[in-house]
Amino acid sequence: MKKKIYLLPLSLLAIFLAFNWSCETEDENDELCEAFDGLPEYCEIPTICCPTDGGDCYYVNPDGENYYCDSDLATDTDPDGCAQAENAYIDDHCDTTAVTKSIRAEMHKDLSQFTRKLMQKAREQSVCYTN
Amino acid sequence: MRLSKSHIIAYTISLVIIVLLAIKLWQHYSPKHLEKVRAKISVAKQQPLDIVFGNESAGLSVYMYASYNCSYCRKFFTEVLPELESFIEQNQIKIIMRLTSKSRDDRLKRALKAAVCVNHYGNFEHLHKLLLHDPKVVYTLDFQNMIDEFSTKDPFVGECIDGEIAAQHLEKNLKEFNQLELKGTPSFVINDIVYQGYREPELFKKIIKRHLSK
Repeated sequence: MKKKIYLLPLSLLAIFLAFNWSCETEDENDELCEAFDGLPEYCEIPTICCPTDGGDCYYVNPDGENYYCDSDLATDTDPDGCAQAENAYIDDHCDTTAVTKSIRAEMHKDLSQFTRKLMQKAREQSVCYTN
Repeated sequence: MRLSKSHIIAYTISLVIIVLLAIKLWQHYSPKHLEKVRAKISVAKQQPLDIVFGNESAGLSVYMYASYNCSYCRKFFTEVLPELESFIEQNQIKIIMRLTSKSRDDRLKRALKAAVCVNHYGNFEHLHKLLLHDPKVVYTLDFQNMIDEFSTKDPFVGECIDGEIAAQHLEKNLKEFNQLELKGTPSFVINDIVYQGYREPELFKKIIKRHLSK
């Protein structure tokens, strides 16, 4: 009988632990993803995500593991060190059999030029702009 | 009936666990929007250089202290603001964005000044999109050149950026942010109630509806 009385707190503890464990919310991913447009038709539109905690950016791979940039390889023209990841993405998701070197270079440009496109629009249409 | 020592221990432990469980349940189910924190000061009404999303005449002002460098501020613009369009279109609310930055970086400061000045004298839409997409762009030479171009193209914008007016506006925003004892961005003040941090679209809509129903 003495032992049975401990069943109450034990069962309550089990409920508490189960609730505590099952209701734990996952941390939200603090990152911004952006789909790029303007790529040639034979290349699937990639999405690049950049975690804001300082982690490396990556290209989302819909078919498997993502393609991670490497900030250690960053250069002035490639501030996030994404050149290798871009190459890997292009190899896997663009029809590269018919792609010449120049087209490949064009793809790289398209991937990184989205910001430039936005800046060009801002440059042209922010002040003294009339439709 | 006298309780034995074992009973007392068991009941005490049970009681503690029940209390813990109740706290846990309350924390889990209590909606964040019910957390009411009254603002330490009354925020200044709409200022000429405030960046406003919505009509000036809208009934409810949502003051947003934000920075383009903060990912959840950007998330607000990409995920929450579109969901608030119906309120904005019906002239029920306006979002007053008060750019807040403690950075001493001259390039960032100048970019923020350009943002408030372009918004005031020109068309802010594209600059806003650019800053949302890539806030780090402000550190590039291209961006700084673009600001120079703005100044050359429109003397009013130039005077605003390089004069005192925009700098004072941004300082005022920061002072207000500090006086409100806000801890980070985004923070919102609606009817002198403070909401710190990002909230999902549905929750934000609930907050808005509650204020509109008052």
